[in-house]
Amino acid sequence: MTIVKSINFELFKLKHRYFYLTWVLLTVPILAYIIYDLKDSGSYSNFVYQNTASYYYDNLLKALMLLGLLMPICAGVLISKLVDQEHKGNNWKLLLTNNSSFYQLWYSKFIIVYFLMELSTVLTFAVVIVGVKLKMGYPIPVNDLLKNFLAVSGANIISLTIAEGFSVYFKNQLIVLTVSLIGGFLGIISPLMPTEIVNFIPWGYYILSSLCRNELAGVNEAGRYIYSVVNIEPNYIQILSVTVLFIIINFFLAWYKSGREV
Amino acid sequence: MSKTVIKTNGLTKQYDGLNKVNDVVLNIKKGRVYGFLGPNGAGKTTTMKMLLGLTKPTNGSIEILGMPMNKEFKNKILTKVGNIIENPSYYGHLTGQENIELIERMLELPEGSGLEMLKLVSLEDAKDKKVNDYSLGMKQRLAIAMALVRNPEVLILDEPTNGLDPAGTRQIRELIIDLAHERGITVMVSSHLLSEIEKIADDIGIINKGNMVFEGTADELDKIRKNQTIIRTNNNGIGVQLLQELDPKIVKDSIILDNLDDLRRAAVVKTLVLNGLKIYSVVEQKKSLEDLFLDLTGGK
Repeated sequence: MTIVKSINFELFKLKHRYFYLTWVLLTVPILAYIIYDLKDSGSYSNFVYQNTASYYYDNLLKALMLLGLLMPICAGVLISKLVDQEHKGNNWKLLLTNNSSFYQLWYSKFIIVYFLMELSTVLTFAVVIVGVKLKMGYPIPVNDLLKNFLAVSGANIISLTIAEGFSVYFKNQLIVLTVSLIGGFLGIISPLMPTEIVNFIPWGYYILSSLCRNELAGVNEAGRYIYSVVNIEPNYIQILSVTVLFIIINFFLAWYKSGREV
Repeated sequence: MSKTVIKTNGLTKQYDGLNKVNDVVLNIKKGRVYGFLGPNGAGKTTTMKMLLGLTKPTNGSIEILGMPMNKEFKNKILTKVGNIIENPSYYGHLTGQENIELIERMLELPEGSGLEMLKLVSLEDAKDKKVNDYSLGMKQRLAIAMALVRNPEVLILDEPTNGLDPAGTRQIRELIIDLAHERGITVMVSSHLLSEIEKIADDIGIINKGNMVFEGTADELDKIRKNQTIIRTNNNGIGVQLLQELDPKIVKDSIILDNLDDLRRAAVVKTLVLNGLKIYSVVEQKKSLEDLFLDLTGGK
């Protein structure tokens, strides 16, 4: 069976499982928040932007916080839905004696969930870009946003590798769900932690991809806090290295499990 | 002489340094039902898993349909071997028909080609019902139908009647016999119940603590399987004295005599009656699996 057929096969098994509804329920809050935030015209008055690109970066920062919260959960919940059906009744045996290899099963499940996570990411970026463009009309910093998108895609690989590992290695899917919730929590609080620590938190790479940070600049006449949006260059080498490391871990996890008895 | 379809030589599987299966030799012939008998934990499932490539043998070789079970031939072999290992595998959230479609997709068979199998296992009327709503017997039959979708030459069924009620057990039993004798499929079926295996098997292999203790035809097993005659009288004490030369034992309220043929049994009854004993019952009983193991392993 080719990997394409294997993916089709996985999709067939998802009938009656409300799989896509789960994805919708996890993606809609991100998009809804970004749209709400963009519509709130007052929100820009508290921020001092470095340049026109900063408007994109700042809105993206908020989006990344939400992605950092919801993508680890999305990875955990979706992969668990795909893997749990194999653990129940030990269907691995059925699959492995019917023309499927463990690698095909592992990677087809990974690809399906990764595609949906990427779709959430694309929609998030699209809403931010279209929203800021429509509202402010500033030129889109295409190169930066593209690099940033790739960095977030790397963070998705990291989150999903962890989730798939826990989901396949432990029959009890509460473990992967718990790990994902912890990941989501760490993902959203990572802006509050020192970068040195966030470097070692796999789910913190959503925030580490950010193109700006907010710094408290003072208080205005009305007594409201003023923040300046400072553009930063993410450490793409580090993000790429960690992503590659997790791709290797992913391969190792698949290889190790494939040699074990089911 | 039938062709050998499954052949193993010195098949051994170790877990943590202990032999779970030890030097097992199997010879399963085409078109026959091979009963693989053994108590729980004897190594039946491990042996079957090795036959299906689900676990690697520590030692020994496997040949199925003339091909060695290795990386090169594994998929080719498995397209011709249906199986149920440990529990029936199925997707409960899908319907019976969708489960069959699933196997068709995996094996890249034409759509609808497996539906005939649902008819064969009498599940045609329940094909649109979710499998979670099936009874255990229906799930077992569905698993057999799923194993049959590829039109297999060999079926490996691990305790397929486990947990079934008598009617369900009978249905599965009849199906297995029909598959072997009408369709020419070689069926290897495991069980821990001798009574179950002797009703369906043409050939029997017995495994105990990982070692094969017997392999032969059902008739050959019958010959070495000693019977017991259980006699209930109004005075078992006198009965035992009268039958002393036959080494009788008293268990509960009966006299037990080992391995009597019909003529000797008649003579025993005559002796007891002529000596004034009242005989309430005479029952001939084959030895249990437990006793058979003791006989075959010399009590080890």
